[in-house]
Amino acid sequence: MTELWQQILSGLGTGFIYASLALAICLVFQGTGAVNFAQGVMATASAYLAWSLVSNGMDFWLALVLVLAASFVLGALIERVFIRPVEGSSPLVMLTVTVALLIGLQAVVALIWGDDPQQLGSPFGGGSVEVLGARLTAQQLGAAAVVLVTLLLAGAFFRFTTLGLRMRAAAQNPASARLLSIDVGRMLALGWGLAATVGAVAGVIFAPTLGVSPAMMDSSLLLALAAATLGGFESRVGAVVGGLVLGVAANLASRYIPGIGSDLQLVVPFAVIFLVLLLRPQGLFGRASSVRA
Amino acid sequence: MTAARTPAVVEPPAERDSEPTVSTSHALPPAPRVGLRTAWWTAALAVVLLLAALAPASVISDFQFFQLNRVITFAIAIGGLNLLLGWAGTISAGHGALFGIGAYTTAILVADHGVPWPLAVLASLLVGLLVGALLGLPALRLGGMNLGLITLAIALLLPPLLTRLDWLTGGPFGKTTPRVEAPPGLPFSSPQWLFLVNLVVLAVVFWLLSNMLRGRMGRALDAAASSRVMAAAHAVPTNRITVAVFAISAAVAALAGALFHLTTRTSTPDSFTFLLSISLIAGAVVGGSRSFVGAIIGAAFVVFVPESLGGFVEPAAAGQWQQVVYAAALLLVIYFFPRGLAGLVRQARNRLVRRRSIHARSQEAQS
Repeated sequence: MTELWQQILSGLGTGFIYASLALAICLVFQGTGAVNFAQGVMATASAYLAWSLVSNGMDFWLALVLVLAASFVLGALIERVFIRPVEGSSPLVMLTVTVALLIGLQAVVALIWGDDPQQLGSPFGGGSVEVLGARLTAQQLGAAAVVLVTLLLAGAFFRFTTLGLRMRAAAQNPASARLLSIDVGRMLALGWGLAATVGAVAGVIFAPTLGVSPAMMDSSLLLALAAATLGGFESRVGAVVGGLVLGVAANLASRYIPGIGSDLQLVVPFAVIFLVLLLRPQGLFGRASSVRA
Repeated sequence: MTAARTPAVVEPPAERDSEPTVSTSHALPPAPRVGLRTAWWTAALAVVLLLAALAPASVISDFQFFQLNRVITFAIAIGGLNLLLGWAGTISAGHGALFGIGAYTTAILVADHGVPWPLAVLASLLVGLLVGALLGLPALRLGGMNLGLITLAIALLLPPLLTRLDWLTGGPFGKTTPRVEAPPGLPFSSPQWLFLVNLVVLAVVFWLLSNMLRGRMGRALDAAASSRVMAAAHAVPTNRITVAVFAISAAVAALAGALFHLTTRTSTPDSFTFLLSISLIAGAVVGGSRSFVGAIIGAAFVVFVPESLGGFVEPAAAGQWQQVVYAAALLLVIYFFPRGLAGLVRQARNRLVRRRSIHARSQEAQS
């Protein structure tokens, strides 16, 4: 029983990575209508930036703030340069562009920083805490707390600020938003920047456990895509919940289902995507929409 | 595979199948077409290459034939992928995995069960069809990116799965099969013989596919790709054709993978990573995803570009530069030549034809 509890808690811990990546993917999807396959590798680039700063002697938290700012700019820039020319194209074209971004950015990261995995020390120290009979490291708890705060901040931003409202308007109905003198293009760039920032939080804060390598986010990306599918691409809350559920599910499956070790954990998101698309294609939190020709 | 029953979608056959009328110089640019002309091009190419196959080893070495075999097998797979990208309007990020499933099916059947290779290749085709139908089922509900998600998952899942199922796949070392020799009495080396086999398969597959796309299926797919709802309202069974076309596309990819294995003789989990799937997409987009000539151009791009990079960059970084080149090529083609290199060629030719016809008419007017 204690072990089950332990597995659930540490699954929740990793679930926060998937939750924040999934939220980032949703932000981009709602704004631009593109499923951003490059979201994971953008977070990887942020993690590498943080690693460079920290290994040159900078304080972790200062580095985090700088990297978040840089990620915001980078995300907005990517939207302006690479996505703008195909804005409003079919999802197929968008997807192809983000696939190109994925392989291109991953290669650039590897060319700059090399293929060898790097270590980033945990800002929370090496201690551990006992929570209701389960033992969690300070890193696990601290990272989860930071991501949770980020997610809440992002939620509050969209809920309570005018800018957030404008962004939602631009995403939901670009034509009407334009009539209300909202600069839709700028909102899209902001959305990408924001998504990159949310992804960067996860990439940097979880770097001590994931290890910093060009492929560090590969399986997280798949799990995040599964999370977004599960929650529904239209729902930000759904994406976060989906991420947490998947984190727990992947952890439990690799522990308790015989034959699924850590190498085959990817079976879980695959099965989830498959089943959700088959049974409830709009996702758990999405609304089924009807289309008029 | 039944397409529309009502004539509504099948209505405009006249201008799509006939040759573009040259005399109306300011007519709309002809819709991208496959069919007779593609078949002719493929046939002409086949004859040229058949002559090449008979060339002595001093002209084309066995290694060059090996490379050509890689191009042809990739071209077949890209042709299958074109069904999705160019006609069905969906993407598969996992055709490399389907290619790998085909390769492994043949490898296992030949190496462990002593099945003759032609039968094994056929079995690969069937396995691909089955896997494709299974994967296509979730896409039944919604098109587009959902298929992308499923296929991305299988692309990332296949290599660890192949490593894990070592009782079946030989684990990280994969499967090796003996060399495929030409039937006794024929004066071909093994790569030459495979080159001929691959060529014939390429020609047959492309001919069948372009025939299929020229008929009701193609029109139904075009209708569904431009608007699913509109197509459904015109009695196009959009769900059924989406699954059918994905299954066919997967079968073609698996067939290509089987032939690829016969060429390389060894299949390991590393041969069929996500990058292979991306390479196939890059080849399809760069060549032009609505053209079978484009598939061949794209395959040549995929095979030869990484190799020519080898001379410029240090070997350790070659893989990364390959990715950079693929990414750059994908973006450039999407931004500037949405119909790919094949589209570019066609455009240039049309412009030439049109100029000539204007010239002819102005001369007529003068006389």
